[in-house]
Amino acid sequence: MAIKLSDPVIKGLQQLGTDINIDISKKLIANTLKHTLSPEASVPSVPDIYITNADKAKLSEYAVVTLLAIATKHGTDAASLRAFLEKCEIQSTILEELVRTYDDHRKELTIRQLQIGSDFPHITDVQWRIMADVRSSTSDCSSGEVSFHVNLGRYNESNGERETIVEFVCSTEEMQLLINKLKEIERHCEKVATK
Amino acid sequence: MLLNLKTDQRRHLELLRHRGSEDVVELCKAAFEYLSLGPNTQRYQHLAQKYSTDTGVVQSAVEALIALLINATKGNASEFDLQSLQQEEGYSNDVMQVLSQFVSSKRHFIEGSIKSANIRAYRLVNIEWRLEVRLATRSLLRQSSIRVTMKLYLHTEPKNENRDLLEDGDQAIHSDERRNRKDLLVQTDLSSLVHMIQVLETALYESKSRRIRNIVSGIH
Repeated sequence: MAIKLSDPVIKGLQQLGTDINIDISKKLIANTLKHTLSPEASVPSVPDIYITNADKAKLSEYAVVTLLAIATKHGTDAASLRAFLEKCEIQSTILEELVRTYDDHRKELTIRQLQIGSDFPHITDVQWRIMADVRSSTSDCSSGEVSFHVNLGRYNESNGERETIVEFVCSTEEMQLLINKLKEIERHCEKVATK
Repeated sequence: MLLNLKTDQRRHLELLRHRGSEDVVELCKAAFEYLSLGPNTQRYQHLAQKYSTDTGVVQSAVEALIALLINATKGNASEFDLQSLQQEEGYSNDVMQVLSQFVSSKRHFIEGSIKSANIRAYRLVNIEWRLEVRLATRSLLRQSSIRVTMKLYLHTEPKNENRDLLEDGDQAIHSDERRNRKDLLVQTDLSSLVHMIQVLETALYESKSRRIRNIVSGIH
């Protein structure tokens, strides 16, 4: 499927290497790529880009993000992207720079975009603790059994903080059942993979 | 461990002092019936006539028996504790035998209820799962990303043994059961799944270590 871009985006790309000089434009493309791939806070600011023509620089940044995102979304290959940009009359050095940036980082861009969208909470981490009751408000003696508190969670992609998805308790037997169940899932997946 | 019976409850148990073991068996049965079905005044009336006393006296005795059962379970009472009750209250040996049987046979049932009355956290009851491939999203039209979607069934109520005992094949979910239940849809990828299995196995392995076994048996 051919990619389509709006007029402001095309204008933002055309400005690069023309209204905005080549060096600044290259910096802008590199910086925009960083913003696309990494959490906001981890990208150092590059004030050079905005010294002259701050408004135009903003539009161009928006245009580069859009181009990368749309090309990634459609799985456009480098040759098709080049052909498309040639039609848009993009300055030739910038055109090469854009195609190279896209082609070199396609994998990262794709992984980034895999993470966007609606999904059920995705578990990537397990925490546990083992507890034994000693005495309680309803029983004067210990039950003599341990219980497992299991916390399934994930790490937030933008700030790295851990988030709890679900928390529950298990007895030893229930823990064994849970492990067996998860192993059963793993086995089934392996079976599908070898088919 | 002493049986912490209140003076009133001890007084209510006086009825037992004057009855034979068969009557005490009957009262114990009535007490257990009370636990599962609630009070049965007709039955108490019938027993009161038989013992030529008031219905209230019978009902109080039944309730005191329940208190005895709960306290004995709660305090993990031994044979010895029951014997001291016998000395204090002057029950016959036959009656005492019935009482100690009553306490030990229903201990498991009461333990279940006592545990369930305590702080309730969600327990994992069941997992349903499905292996899926996500083929396209708004931000990435062509993809094949493999994931496992799971539905976790969580309950805060205790194991259902007691409830099952109380209900005869009644399949309908009670409103309080629904309140105590939570279903949750989650997903994971295969490498996280393998990681989860490893981490949980470590936990299980750790729980069987000598150190933990020693501590648990020490506090029990």
